[in-house]
Amino acid sequence: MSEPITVLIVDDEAPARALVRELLADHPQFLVTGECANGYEAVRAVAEHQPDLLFLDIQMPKLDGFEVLELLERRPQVIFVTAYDEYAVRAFEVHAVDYLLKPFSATRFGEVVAHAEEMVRRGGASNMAAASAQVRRPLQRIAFREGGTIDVVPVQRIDYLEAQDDYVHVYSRGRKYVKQQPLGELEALLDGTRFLRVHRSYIVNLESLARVEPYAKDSRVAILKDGTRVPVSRAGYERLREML
Amino acid sequence: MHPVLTDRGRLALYLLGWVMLAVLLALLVLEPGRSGLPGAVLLTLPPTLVYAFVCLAAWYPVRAMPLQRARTGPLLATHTVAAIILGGAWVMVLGIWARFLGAPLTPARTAAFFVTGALLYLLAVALHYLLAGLEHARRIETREIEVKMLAREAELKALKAQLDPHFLFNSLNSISSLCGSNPASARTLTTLLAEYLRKSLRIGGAETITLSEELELVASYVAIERIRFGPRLELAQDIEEAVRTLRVPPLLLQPLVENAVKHGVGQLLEGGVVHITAAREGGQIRISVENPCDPDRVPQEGEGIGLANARRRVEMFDGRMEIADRPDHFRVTLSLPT
Repeated sequence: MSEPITVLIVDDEAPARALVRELLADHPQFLVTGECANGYEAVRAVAEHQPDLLFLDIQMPKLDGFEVLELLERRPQVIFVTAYDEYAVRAFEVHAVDYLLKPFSATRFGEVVAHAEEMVRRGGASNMAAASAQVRRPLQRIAFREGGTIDVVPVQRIDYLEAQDDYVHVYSRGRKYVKQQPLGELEALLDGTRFLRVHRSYIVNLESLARVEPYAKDSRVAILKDGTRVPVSRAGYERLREML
Repeated sequence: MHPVLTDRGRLALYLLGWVMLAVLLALLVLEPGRSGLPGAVLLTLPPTLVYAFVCLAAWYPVRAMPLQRARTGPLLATHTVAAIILGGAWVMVLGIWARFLGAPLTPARTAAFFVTGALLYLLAVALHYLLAGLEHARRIETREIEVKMLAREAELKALKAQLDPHFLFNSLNSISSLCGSNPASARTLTTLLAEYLRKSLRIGGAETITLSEELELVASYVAIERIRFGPRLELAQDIEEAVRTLRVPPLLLQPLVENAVKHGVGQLLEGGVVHITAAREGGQIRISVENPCDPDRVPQEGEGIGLANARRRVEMFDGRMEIADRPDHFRVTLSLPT
């Protein structure tokens, strides 16, 4: 008998979690190591228990299922469980094992977990990190994780973004958030009518922009509403002029 | 627009009536030994036709003084004066025409024609009042149909929004879950769901319902959601006893509560209380739905479909809807005439 497959169930509805747990009882190769009622708990529990498989609801308070995945460093196999059929394409894009539509039958559940077992036994954690970045456009909010704390910032509140090596510093209302992601990747996800790359290392929220001033010969500086100064390259200034 | 001049059929009918009147008048003036019927018709017809058009002018005072609103005194005075003036004008034209034909009117005839002219004008006035009445009735009928259609459409929309498929699927999933672990609860939930659906359908078809009927629907909805959300969701009600029996448009409150659950309390880790208040204020009934919400939520651009729908419906019933959208709090207040 091989090692049991460890499972984490994430759903904000208790009856929905109970159903998955109950149906899993018929499949002894799976071992439920925890249940989470929201995305925050899920991110922490995955880090702590390192489960092989995640049953993941999509519509949850604060962090939705996709945001949970984005914040995970090591990603288990995922089965989405939801009443919404409109996320199926996105689920496919983040390489989910399958997509269970509530309510589902025991037969369908059996097929899905058999598939999941095969995936887990074959390849360990899936590689979804790169894929998830391409899915959503435009991004509505960004989730950050720093140690044990998780922050979710609506993009409207972002003033500007700054590239720092492999990280992006995101400034919102005087606070700085850090995300490990190339600036170009984030740029592609943001709403292009609201966010503009004014410099190789900077993206500015146009709604936070107060004015642009000449700085030195051939270079300019953007002054944000809170007084922050952000360098603007020549190409960036061209884009800005086109936009406004 | 003039109801006779704008319709050829009506104009033809109107003129035909006057031709018959002219012939009638000719028969009355017919005297043995004179030029006979053709001569008499020659005398009466042209002035009568001219007079027919003059009498169309009755439309304007009729329109200015509708029977429903004008007071009897001024009404009678206006039309009597008009009748005398027009009767005089008519008898003058007739006299000139008779002299032109070489047979001037006798004084007795002149008097008789004057009275006839005045009476004919009054007849025209009566006819125009009749037409105005018909027109008025038709307009009211069209407007009533329009209002009814709008209301129907709104109700259908509300009903459609009501039966949110995700709500239904999630509830069915809960039932499926409870079947194994807690069959008694599964039965309770099935009953609640059936009750909720039945009430929605019945209420949705009614013109108005009492506030307490709507509140019952809200209570079933929350009872179902509570099985899913658990103790995270609470409902508090602060309803003035006297307003419970007041009649309100159906399915107005329920979507607001659903909104408060889905986008408010449902998005909070620790949950919260949806608070409904209803009280009479002046001649109005004020109902508010209030809920805590996540300050980090993605700000909505404009109103969601649910709220926009509610606003349209409230305005259709001459009410008002106000939204107080604060970072950690959301409140919708409806004011409806009682």
